[in-house]
Amino acid sequence: MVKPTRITNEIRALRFAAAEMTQAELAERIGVTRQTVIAIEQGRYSPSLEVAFKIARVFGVPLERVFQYPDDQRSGRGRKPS
Amino acid sequence: MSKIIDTEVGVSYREKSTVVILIGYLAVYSWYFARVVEAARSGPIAEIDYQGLLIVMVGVLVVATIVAQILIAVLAPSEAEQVDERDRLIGLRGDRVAGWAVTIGALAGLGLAMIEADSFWIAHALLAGLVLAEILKSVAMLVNYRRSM
Repeated sequence: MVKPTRITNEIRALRFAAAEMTQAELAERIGVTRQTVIAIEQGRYSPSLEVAFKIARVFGVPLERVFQYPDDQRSGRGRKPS
Repeated sequence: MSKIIDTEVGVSYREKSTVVILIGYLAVYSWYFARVVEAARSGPIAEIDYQGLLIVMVGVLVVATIVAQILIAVLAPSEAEQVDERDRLIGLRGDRVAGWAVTIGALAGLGLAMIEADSFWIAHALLAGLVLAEILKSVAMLVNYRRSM
């Protein structure tokens, strides 16, 4: 029904590194429901850019340490003009 | 100790109220349609006083929904009113589904008006569209909460 996102994330590992922060605590700190944190962690929901930044701020890391997007060879990435 | 791997999905406030709204709609409209069908069987359609029934039903529905929402808020105060971006997106997707049902109901009502059907049928084509819209919206939201996102 809904196309699965190709965005992956390291939130679980980051929570574990951050003194085993619970999903509920992370949810409260970024102002979403715990169900939303679960959905983001499982890659079922891609959060808004703002929520993504908030998650990165909670862990004190850059955005790409939290979320990753795979390089797409077919789209000719890296063949920029000029 | 370690709640870090707690992936038990749980049910959010909005999901609970969606279930409550769905049950409320199904209960109230089953009652309404049962009464109207019964009346249609026992006498001519033109004599059915569905207007009074409809107004009572809408009133019951509004009051019941408010009471249910208050109950949920009292039973789970920490979760009440916490609506985030995912809840809103799921709501919007539900509205999109609901829009189709309303459109189909309106077109059916228009068609019935063009063939000069009894106003009873026009009203119920429109009502069916609205009822179907609410039910489909709730179902679509619950499916979205559970599965796709």
